[in-house]
Amino acid sequence: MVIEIKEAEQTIVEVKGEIDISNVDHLGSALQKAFTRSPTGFVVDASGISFIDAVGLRTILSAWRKLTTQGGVLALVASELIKKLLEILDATSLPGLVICDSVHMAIETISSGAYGSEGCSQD
Amino acid sequence: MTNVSGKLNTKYISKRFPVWTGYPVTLILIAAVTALLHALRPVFPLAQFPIPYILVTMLVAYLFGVGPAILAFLVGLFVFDYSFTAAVYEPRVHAVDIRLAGITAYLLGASIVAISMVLISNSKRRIECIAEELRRSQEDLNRAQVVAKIGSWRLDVQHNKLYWSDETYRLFGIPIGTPLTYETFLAKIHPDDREYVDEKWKAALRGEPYDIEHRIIVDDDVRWVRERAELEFGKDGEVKSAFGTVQDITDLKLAEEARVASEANYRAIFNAANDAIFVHDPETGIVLDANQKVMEMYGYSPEEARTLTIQDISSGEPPYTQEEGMQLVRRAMQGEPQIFEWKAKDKNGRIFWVEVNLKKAIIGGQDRVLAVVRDITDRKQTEEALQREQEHKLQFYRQTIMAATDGKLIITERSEIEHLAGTSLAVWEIHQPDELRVIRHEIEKVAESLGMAQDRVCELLVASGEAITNAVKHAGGGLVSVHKTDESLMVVVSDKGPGIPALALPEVALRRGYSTTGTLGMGYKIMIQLMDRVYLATDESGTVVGLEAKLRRSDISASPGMNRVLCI
Repeated sequence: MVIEIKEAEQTIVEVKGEIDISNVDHLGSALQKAFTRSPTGFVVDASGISFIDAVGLRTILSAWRKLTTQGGVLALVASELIKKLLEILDATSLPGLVICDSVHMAIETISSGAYGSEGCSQD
Repeated sequence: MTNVSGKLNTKYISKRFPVWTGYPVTLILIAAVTALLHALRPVFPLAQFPIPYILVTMLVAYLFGVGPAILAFLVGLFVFDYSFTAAVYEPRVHAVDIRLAGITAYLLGASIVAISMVLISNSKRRIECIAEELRRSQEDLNRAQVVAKIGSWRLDVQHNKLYWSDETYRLFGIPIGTPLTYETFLAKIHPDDREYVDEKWKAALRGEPYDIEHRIIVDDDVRWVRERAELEFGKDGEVKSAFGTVQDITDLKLAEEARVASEANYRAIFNAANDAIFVHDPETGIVLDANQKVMEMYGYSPEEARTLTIQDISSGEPPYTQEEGMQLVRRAMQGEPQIFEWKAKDKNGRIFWVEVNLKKAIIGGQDRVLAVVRDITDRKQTEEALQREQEHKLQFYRQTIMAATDGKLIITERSEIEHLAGTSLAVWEIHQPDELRVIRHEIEKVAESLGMAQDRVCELLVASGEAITNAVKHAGGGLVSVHKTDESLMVVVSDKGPGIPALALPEVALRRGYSTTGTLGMGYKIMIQLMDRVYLATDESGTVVGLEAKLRRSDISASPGMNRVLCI
């Protein structure tokens, strides 16, 4: 797993590789760092994740929970696997969690504030 | 006493005069008598008779016995004959007859007197010997009485005298020799026992046996004595004499009291116990003792319980038999306490459950096995009812869960999963979280080699990941294996963890909507959705999860992907 926190227009946490309980704590602390920098919202680019399980998803969803309690938003760039798992967990339409197909869209969505139940803004 | 009735023992003479002194004294006496007679003869004609010599013989016989008497006799005869008879009558014609008559008279007189004196002397010595022997045996008796702490007494009714032995005086703490009355004796008796002793003595005077134990007070100290007496009665039933013994039994009594107290304590504890207690012979298993609770539990009185065998108090159906019981007894004898449940049988044949604690014990210096028995019928019934209820609940859960998951989550037994799994293709052990990745890739290889489509391999890996993560998280690791049947591939993950409680199963399988309460539920949701079927067997000894993915025609026909990135 490789994690990179990028500071551009928005804070972006880029995660690549396989996530399981052996390394999920690194993801947790990276997300915590991002939260400290941008408590109103940031982007998690999970499109490069090749494997993730319930523990990993829970860690991401914990970050979302923290953000929403403060009125923030989490834009998640998800792979097909993650989308499917979120569906299974009934976690696709959580308030404050925006699931996007690309980093570009995710940044735009957060910046514009145009997010809601309709999800990530489409081009 | 025997040597007194036998021959004279000269050693008693030597107490006054050594034996040898008799001989010189005899000679001195004869010389003295001769000198006296010579001096007297001119004025006293009778001095010519042998009487003085006979008197000397008599005296010597009396004082010194036979030897000196014979010496006195012979020397006396010679001197008498020579210095008187011969000297006086020799010049005369008829002197021979007179001399003969004098010697004869001497012989006769001296013999008779000497013999009688020896006899008198002997009998006197004999009496002295008897008295001495009596004194000695009295001494021995006194010593024996001191050693045995037994005193004796004698009542002489004729002379109205009561004699106590020295030891009796000592036992009663009265100075030896103090004049005694019945009242003196009564006064020494413990006030609580006085009436009793008085009654018993009066009964003895009427002819009843007298053998009693009572207390006396000696120097403010309470002592116990045992008294026995034998009374001799006259024709009219009057007491003629009595002889009795007094024995100090204080130590015996104290030891007995201590023993009785300790026995009573032991009994009290034994009988107060809430559990039935059997004392078994370690060799035969036979019951040697039993407490009151045994009566309540088994219906045998403690008396009946003694001699019961293990068979008698066991249901008899294997393994609740004499042989099994004896094995447990032997193990307990080797010092390992045995605690086990046992099917017991009471006097009426009723079978009931007990919990038995067998322990080696030493009772009264003997090796014994103690069996502490508790009736657990109620507990057993409750346990059985609980188990039944548990099974019903589980049954209900299984059916509900199966229905709620469209038949995808099947709660079953581990043997069933092993049976369904099919041929084992590979097995891995896992202990650490960082081994997860390697095993995922191993499973991936196997699945691909079977021609499974890429997206389905991905799903299998995610589902397997959940099961393996659970084993690592909740059980510290376990075994992962891949199996294959004709129509499906199965990943089996087993662990020896605490299992999933039955009550948590609905949460795991049925919860709708996203919850952050636990990843266990999330994991199972994922497994159920991604797999064709999930088998789950779980109890206190561990959990087995079987993840079944059907092999489809599309899987088999699909060509293995090259250089794919996992799950993308």
